Amino acid sequence: MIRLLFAVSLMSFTSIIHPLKMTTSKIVIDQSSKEVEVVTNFFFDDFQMHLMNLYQTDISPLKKDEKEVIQDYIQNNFIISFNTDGIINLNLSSAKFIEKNVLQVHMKGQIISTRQLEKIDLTNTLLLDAFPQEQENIVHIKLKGSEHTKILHFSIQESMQSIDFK
Amino acid sequence: MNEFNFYIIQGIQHITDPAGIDHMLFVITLCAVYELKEWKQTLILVTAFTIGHSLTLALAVLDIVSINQDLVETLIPITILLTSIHNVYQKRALRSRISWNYVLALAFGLIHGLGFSNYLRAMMMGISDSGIIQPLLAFNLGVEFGQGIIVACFMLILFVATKLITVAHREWNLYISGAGGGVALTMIIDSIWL
Repeated sequence: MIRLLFAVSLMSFTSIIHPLKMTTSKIVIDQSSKEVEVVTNFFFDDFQMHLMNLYQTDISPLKKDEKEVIQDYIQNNFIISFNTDGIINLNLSSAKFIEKNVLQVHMKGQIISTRQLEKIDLTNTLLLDAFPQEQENIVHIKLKGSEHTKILHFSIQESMQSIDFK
Repeated sequence: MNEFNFYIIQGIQHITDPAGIDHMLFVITLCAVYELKEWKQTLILVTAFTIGHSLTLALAVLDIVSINQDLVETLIPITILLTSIHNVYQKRALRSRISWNYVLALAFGLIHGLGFSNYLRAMMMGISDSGIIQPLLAFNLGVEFGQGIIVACFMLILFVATKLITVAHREWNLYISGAGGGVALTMIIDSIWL
C-alpha cells in the first residue's frame, strides 16, 4: 500500500488532459477567376481570449465590429503571397459557429499576379504567440479543379513555408 | 501527402502525443493487471476498447450523438481512475473476471470515442473534401496503430520489469495502477475547478 501511495503521489504532479491547440485551414485557389478562398476553424475559447488580449474586444457577439477585429487579426497572421508578386488581401466573408466551441471563418481574396501559378509563400502565425509551445496550424491547399491537396503544418519553429507549383 | 494518409498520421499522433496522455494512460492502466503470458487477453481487451471508441467516434462525427465536451473531459479521467481502482482490488486478471474487464474496456471506450470526436470534427469540418467517412476511417486506423505501438512498448517494459529486474507482477500492477489513478485524480480536479 505504501508503494501504491508513492506511485500515486509521484505521478499526480504530471496531469495533462489532451490539449487541443490547433487551427485547421483550407485554401482553395481558382486560377481562372483569380480568386482565393480561405476557410479556418478556430477553437473559440482560445481565439476569443487571444483577441481580447490583443484588441481589448470581446468577439463573442460576432457583430460588425467584432468581425473587423477577426479580419484584421487574420490579415496580419495568415499571409499568402502568390508568385512573390504581392500579398493577397483577404476579406472576411463570414464567421459562424459550426460547433459550440469551434468558430469557422471564411475569407476571400483576389490574385494580383498575372502569371500562371508558380509559387505560394504562406505565413501562418495564428495563435502562435498565445500558445508558442502547443499551437499547431494545419493548412490544406487545393487548386480548384485538381484532386490533389497539399497539406502543411505550421508551428512556432516553422511559421513560414513555400510551395512550388512549377 | 494525400488526405487519407494525413488523417492516419493525425490518429497516431493524437493517441501517442506525450503532451496529452489521457487516452494513452487509459490503455496503459487497462493493461496493468495482465501478465506477459496473458498477451492474448490484452489484445482482446484493447480490441474491446477499440470497438467502443470507434462506435461513438463514428456516431459523434456523423452528428448522430452529441455530448457536452466539458462533461466528456471529466468522464475520461474518471474511466482511468475507476480502471485503476478496479485493478488494485483485483489481485490478477482471473479467468472468471476477464469478461468483466472486457465489458469495462468496451464501455469506457464509448466515452473515449467522444473525446476523439471533438478533435476530428474541429479538424475536418468544412476543410476535408473527401467527405466524412474517409477521414473517419483513416483517423480510426491511425488511432488503432498508435494503440498498438503503446501496447507493444508497454509489453516490452513489462518484460524488462518482471523478467529481467524480477519485479513481482502484483507490485507492477500497484505501481502502474496507482500512477494512473493519481494522474486521473488530478485531471478530474483540474477539469472541475479550472
